[in-house]
Amino acid sequence: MGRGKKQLDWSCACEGNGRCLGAAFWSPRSRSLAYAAVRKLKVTAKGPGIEESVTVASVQAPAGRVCRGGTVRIGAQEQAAGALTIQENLVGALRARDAAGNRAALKLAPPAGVRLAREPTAAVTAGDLELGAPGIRLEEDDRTLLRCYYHARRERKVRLQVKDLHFSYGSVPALEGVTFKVNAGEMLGIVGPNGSGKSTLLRCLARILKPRTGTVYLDGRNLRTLRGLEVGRCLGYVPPPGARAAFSATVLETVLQGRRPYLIWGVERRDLEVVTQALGYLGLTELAERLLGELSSGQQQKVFIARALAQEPEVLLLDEPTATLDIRYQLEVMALIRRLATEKGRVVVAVLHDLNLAGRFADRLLLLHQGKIFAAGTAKVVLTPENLRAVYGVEAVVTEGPWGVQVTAVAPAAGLRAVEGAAVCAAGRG
Amino acid sequence: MGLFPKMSGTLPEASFAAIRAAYSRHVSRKVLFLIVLLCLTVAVMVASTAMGVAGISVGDVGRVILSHLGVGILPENDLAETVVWQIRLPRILLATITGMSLAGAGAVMQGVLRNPLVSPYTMGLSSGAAFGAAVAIVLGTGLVGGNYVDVSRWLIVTNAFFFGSLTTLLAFSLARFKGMAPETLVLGGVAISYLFQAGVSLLKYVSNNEALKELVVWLMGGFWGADWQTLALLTPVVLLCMAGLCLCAWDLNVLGAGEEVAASLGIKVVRLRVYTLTLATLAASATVAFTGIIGFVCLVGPHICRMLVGNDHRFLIPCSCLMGAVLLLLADTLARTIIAPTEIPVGIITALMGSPFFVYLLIKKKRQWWG
Amino acid sequence: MRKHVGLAVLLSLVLVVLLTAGCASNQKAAIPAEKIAIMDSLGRTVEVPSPPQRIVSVNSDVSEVICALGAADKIVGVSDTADFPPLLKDKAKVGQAFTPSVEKILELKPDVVFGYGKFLKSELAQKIEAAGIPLVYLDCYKPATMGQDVRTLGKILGKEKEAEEYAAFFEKYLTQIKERTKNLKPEEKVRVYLEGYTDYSTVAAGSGGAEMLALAGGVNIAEGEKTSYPKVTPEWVVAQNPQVIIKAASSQVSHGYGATDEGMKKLREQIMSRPGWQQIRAVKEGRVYVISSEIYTGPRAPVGVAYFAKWLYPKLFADLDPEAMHRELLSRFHGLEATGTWVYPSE
Repeated sequence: MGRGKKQLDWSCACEGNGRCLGAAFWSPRSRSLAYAAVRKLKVTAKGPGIEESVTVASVQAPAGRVCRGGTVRIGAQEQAAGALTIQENLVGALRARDAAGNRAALKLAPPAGVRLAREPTAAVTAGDLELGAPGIRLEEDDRTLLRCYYHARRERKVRLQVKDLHFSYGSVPALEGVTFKVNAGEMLGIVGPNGSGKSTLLRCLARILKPRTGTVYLDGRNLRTLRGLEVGRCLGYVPPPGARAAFSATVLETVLQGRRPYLIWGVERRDLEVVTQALGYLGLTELAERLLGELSSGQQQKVFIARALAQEPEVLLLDEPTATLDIRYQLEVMALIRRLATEKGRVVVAVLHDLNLAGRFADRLLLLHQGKIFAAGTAKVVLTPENLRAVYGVEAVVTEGPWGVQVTAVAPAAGLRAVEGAAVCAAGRG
Repeated sequence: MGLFPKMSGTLPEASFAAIRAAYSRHVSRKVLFLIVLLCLTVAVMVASTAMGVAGISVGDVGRVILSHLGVGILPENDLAETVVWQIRLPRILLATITGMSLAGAGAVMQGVLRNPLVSPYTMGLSSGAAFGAAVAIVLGTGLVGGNYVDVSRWLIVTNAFFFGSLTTLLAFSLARFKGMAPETLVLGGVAISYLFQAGVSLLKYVSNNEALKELVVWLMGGFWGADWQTLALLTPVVLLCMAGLCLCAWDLNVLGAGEEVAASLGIKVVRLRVYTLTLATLAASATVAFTGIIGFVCLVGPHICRMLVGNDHRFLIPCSCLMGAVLLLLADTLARTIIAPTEIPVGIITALMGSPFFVYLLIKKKRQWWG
Repeated sequence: MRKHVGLAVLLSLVLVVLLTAGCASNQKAAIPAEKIAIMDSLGRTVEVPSPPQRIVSVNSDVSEVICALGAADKIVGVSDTADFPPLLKDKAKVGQAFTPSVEKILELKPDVVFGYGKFLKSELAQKIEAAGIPLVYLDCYKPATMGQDVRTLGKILGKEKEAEEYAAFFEKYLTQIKERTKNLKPEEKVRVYLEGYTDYSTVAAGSGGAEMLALAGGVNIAEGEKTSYPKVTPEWVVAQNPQVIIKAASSQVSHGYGATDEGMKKLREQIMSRPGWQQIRAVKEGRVYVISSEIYTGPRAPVGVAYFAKWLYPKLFADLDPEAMHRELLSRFHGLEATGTWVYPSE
């Protein structure tokens, strides 16, 4: 079985400090990097019809300082590097079924010394694994192995802390008493109706606006104490799409702008390395010499994200990154920034106007209403019909599906002026 | 701890090489253009020295220059010495310095105010300087003539410089209330411009014939006052200002991404604006005080360079300086030789020369150099 | 880019070749005579070689007087606009009066340069003097100082006798006019509207035209204006109701030496037909005159003054013949026939 086997290349995510963290999957087709952060672990299947845990897949990196690749053990067979066949798919994941068609829970058995912080709900990246063990078939789901493992690996650590932020435009208050925390490796989604202060909050975090009162702490350090170009090394800001530049530049020049916090006059090798990696991460390498104005808005948005990445920031701040993108780019960009968060414990804060994307990709959500935090927590907690009625003024249906929390707005809330079309539609559905 | 690990292994070597090659191409083209432009400037300077109304042979010209550099002896034709050393050379050097200052300031202001239609004159410099000169010429002369000719000349220069800088300062103060927004700076400059223009017109009206003629000639711009003293004063000012501006090249590049992005990258936008605009205005004001108002070079020189070299300010600023120098040198040489001995005002020649070339570039070059 | 480099090099080579082909003039300056110190119109004391062998004069009026004094052959350079006397047209040109070409002047190797009073760009003046050439400012167009300027010029040129003759010639007429108009009572004085080269631009204190009018004994209706060349409105002129209107013809209208009276005639008709001006006394009585700029200001201004006097007080100056005066001036001092129109109408 397996739908089209592809060879995977390997590379190492070793930090060069003698502690090899594992192998990285590189998918040639989607040109994306997926890191497995753990050195060695196994994916086992357990369920009806299976007497004992069966090793489904494991990742083992060879010991030593420099990791040149790894092997995947499937079942009892060890396949050599490069021979793993996985059909890549960013948003696929796996479930196991046995021969009888029963769901088999995939259980992760981390190696000794690795603590699982929470029970993983599903399993490996993408596609069908060719199995050695008979009778086990893997299906798709949509959580990534990465995240589970990452959660297993690290302790929850608060990286970004916002205390009591107040901001007003002139005399009009825009933010009042905003307080929240973001942990390492988390993606925080800020949602709310228009004018609730989402962009303002983001700009306060990015040190574009100066809040009246309140402090922002990054790793315990007050952001205001960052001087000059240090700000650029810590905060990467991606502006909302739609602004036109006064003068045109190529993609390469644009991404190089992100290196400003590290540049003095000339461009060093390290700068070009980072730029290459940023471009590669976003799949823009061929477009390096094209003019920005010639690209589609989806590609332009990716260039801006690449620029922010080139800063190698600790915190990535995105303002409505998917606002003008089509559904494919939306998925790509959201999955990308999701991955950015989990790798290396970065913090990603994104203002999202699309509640479904927020529900699907964000770890935690912040619902703003008139400059104050109305609700905070996971998508399940925040995106409830009551909250949506109170904040947005709509009657909405919230479902939890394989792709996270989905919100469908049905009609404006009672007490508001009815919109004709909506009423008819609602009536039609019965 | 970087976001990306150090490169090793097979993965992105190929793309790294591609990117590095792309970057080198990007840079080397511009460096080459810069060198070509430098050679062109020197060539035009040399050629201009040998051209003029007084028919002096090239050999004599060369001998004069070499003798002043310490090599060789003066030619017997002492007219050559006076003409070349006292009249032509200072004039050519002044044209070069003025071109550098105007075009360099223009390029920087366009980048900082993110507006392709801006020039050093936009913030009121031209009207202010004109007003200062008018005050000096119309109200200041008539005191004494003769021996005090020198005083009246410095009076014009200092007045023009003072009022030219004053207008910019006023525009700054106006814009301060709006956080130095580019729109406010430009509009404030325009408003102040009109005010001082009115002043100039009034002074023109009440002046007598001689003062009027002198004022009109000053306003048209020209290199009458070129001598070594002027150059000794202007050259260090202009060169230092241009060097100071070149230091901000990367910040100006980043500013092109937008103010918000620039701020989040750690650039103090307001401070950058004040710094660059001050230096640019200082350089432009200094040259305008001596030469009068020569238009066009400061607006079009940078744009021609943008079309040929792109928007990377590390190369754009030096290129604009050189392009401005070349344009102005050519214009001046044409102005004083075409219908010799009558001299056409330089500003007319710069407009006549530059405009068609600019139109040609607009049509031919596909690369959009704004937005 | 390579071909741009090549182009620049080629251009430079071409320029070099062209210049070597040209020849450098290498005139030797004649040895000047001893120097004398004179005071010029701006009150400066300047040391000038006397007599100078090579003269550059950017002041057209000074050039005219030099020709009148018989030293025309010494002139080697004049300004672009010098056209009287006609022999000046063949002389080398050095550019405009206010901004002459210093290079050209230096190339001509003059012993002295004559300029207008305040009408020479100071930086250029500095350059000329720095090259060791004395610069003398002589007006030669203001009636009040004319005599003095002519005599100074005579002293410099070593033509004192001719200068005296020239000065005496017109001083005679001027004193005559002054004498006769001295005793005029205020109510007898004629009120005049004197218009300059631009429409509705009249003259007031400080200008040459007003001076001439005063010499001729007329009353300028714009006397009290603050600026020297005030701009007035047609209604104001109608309200003032002058008795005589005099218009100075600019170079846009053909006039002067060798011209017909067509242009000036049209100009007069145009003025008289200005809307509302039929009520003006001067127009009703037909006392509208057009005068050429050649005799309006400049060395021949006294002729203009004579014409003014004749027009203002025809009875008082019945015996004055400005035309004859002009003819004599032209033939005696310039050896020219008086062919041309300088006033209209010329009875």
